[in-house]
Amino acid sequence: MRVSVTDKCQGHARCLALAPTIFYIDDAGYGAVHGDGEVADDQAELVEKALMNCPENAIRVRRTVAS
Amino acid sequence: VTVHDPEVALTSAPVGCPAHVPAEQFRHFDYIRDIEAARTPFDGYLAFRGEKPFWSDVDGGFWTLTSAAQVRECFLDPEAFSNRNVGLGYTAFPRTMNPDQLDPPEHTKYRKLLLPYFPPTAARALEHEIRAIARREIAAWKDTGSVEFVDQFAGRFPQIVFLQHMLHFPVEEMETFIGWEHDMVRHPRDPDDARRSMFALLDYMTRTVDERAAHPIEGDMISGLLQGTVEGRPVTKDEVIDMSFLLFLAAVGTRHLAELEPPRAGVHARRHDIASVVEFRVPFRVSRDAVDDVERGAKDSDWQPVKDAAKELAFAEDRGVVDGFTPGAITSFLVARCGPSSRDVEEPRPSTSGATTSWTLFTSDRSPIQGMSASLSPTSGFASIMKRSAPLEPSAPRDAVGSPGGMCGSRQAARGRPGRA
Repeated sequence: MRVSVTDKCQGHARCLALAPTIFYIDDAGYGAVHGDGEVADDQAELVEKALMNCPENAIRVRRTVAS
Repeated sequence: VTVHDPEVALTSAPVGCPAHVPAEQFRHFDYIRDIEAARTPFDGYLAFRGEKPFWSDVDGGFWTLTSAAQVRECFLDPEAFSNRNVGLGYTAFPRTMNPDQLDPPEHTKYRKLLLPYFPPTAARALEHEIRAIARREIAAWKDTGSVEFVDQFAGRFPQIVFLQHMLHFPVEEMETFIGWEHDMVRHPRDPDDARRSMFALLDYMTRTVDERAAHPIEGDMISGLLQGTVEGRPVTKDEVIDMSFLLFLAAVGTRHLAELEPPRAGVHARRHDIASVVEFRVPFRVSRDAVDDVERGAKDSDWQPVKDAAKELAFAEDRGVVDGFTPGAITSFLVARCGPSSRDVEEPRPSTSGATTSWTLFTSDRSPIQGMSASLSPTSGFASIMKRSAPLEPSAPRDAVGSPGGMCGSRQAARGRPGRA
C-alpha cells in the first residue's frame, strides 16, 4: 500500500509514536513516511493505528492492487 | 446521593433526567469529584468502558463519551463539537487555552507559530543542556540508594527542561513553578490549591510576557511568539500569555501514569499507589471469671465490654466509610458513591476499581464480628458497607480467652485479605 502524510499535518507526532518503522518527523516538525511511501501489506495494522490516531486526519492510504 | 440501599438506587427513576436523554443513559456523574475519588483518573474512566455515552446533570449538564471511536468522531467534526472551553467546575480556566481550545481553522494558525520550537532539530540543539539537567537531577538522589522514580525524576525532568530552556524561567525559582504545576495537575487535586496556583501562574506569565516584550531574549519562545504574526497582524500579548500558560501545563505528564522506565528490556515496570492502612483499636477489659466461664461451657458469661468495644469499632468504621476519615486518608463513601460505581455494588466484576475489592472484603465481614477480628478494605471507592445486615452481636472471641484484657481491632487497608489483628 502507498502511505502519505498530507499538508493537514500539524506535527502531533502520533504516527511516529505508534509506528516508528513507517513514519518519521522531518526537520520542520511534520510527519513523513520513510522511503517512497510504499508499505508492505503485513504492516497494515500499524498503518491503521497511526491513521486512526492522527488528530488532523492527515494520513492517506492508497491500496495497491496486485496485478 | 444519600440513598443507602443500592437496590433502591438502581430501580428508582432518575431525578433530573431531561426528556431528550434516555433514562439508561443518565448518570449523576461528577467528573471532578468522582474521578478524583478513584485510585487514579484512568481507573475512574475505565469503569465506563463498553457502556453507552451518558449524560450527567452535574455542572449544568454534559455528555461523556465512552469509546475511542466516539471521541475520534467528535474531534473530526468541529462544526458540531467545538474545542472551546465550556467552563465546567474548577478546571475552568478564565482564559482560552491557545491553541488547544480553538477550532479549525484558528487552531492551525496558532499551532503553526509553535511548531518551529518543537521539531527534532530543536530538541537536538538542546541535547547538551538537557543532559546536564538530567545529571543534576540524578545527582540529587543517586547516593541515597533508592529513588521514587516518578516523583523524584520523571515528574520533574521534562518540566525543568521546558521551563529553563523554552520559557527561560529563572532556575532559582524552579521549585515554586513545579509546586504550581503539581497543584494544578496532580491527582487528586485540592480545588483551592489548584485555583490559587492557577492565578499565581497567570500573574507570573503576564509579568513575564510584559518583560519579554520590552527586553526580548535570544532564542526564547515567549520573545519569539511576541514577534510572530497571525493573518498579517502581530500576535497580541494576551495570545502569548494564553499559549505560554497552556505549554506550561502541557510540559507535564499525568503523574499517575505509573508506567515506569523498565529496568531491562522486556520487563514491564509499574508503580502501584497503595492506599494507607488505618487501624482502629478500642481497649477492653474482661474479668478472669468471665473468660473461665466460657471454658466451663457457660452460655451467658459477661462479655459486655467486648460487645461495647466491637460496637464502638463498628461505629468508627461506619463513620469513617460514610463521612470519610481524613487523617487516615479514607475517602467518604458518599463522595465515592455519587459516581459510576453503584452497579459494582451489586455485581462485582473482576479488574475494575476499588469498589469491587471492598465488596468482596466486606462480604466476609458480614458474619458476626469475632472479637479480635480485622476487616480489610480499600480506603477509597467504598461501596457496600451499608449492605452489612448481620447484627453486631459478637460471638465468644476465642482469641481473647485466657487473657484478662485485650484490644479489639479493626483495620482499613488498601489490599489484603481479612485476617486476625
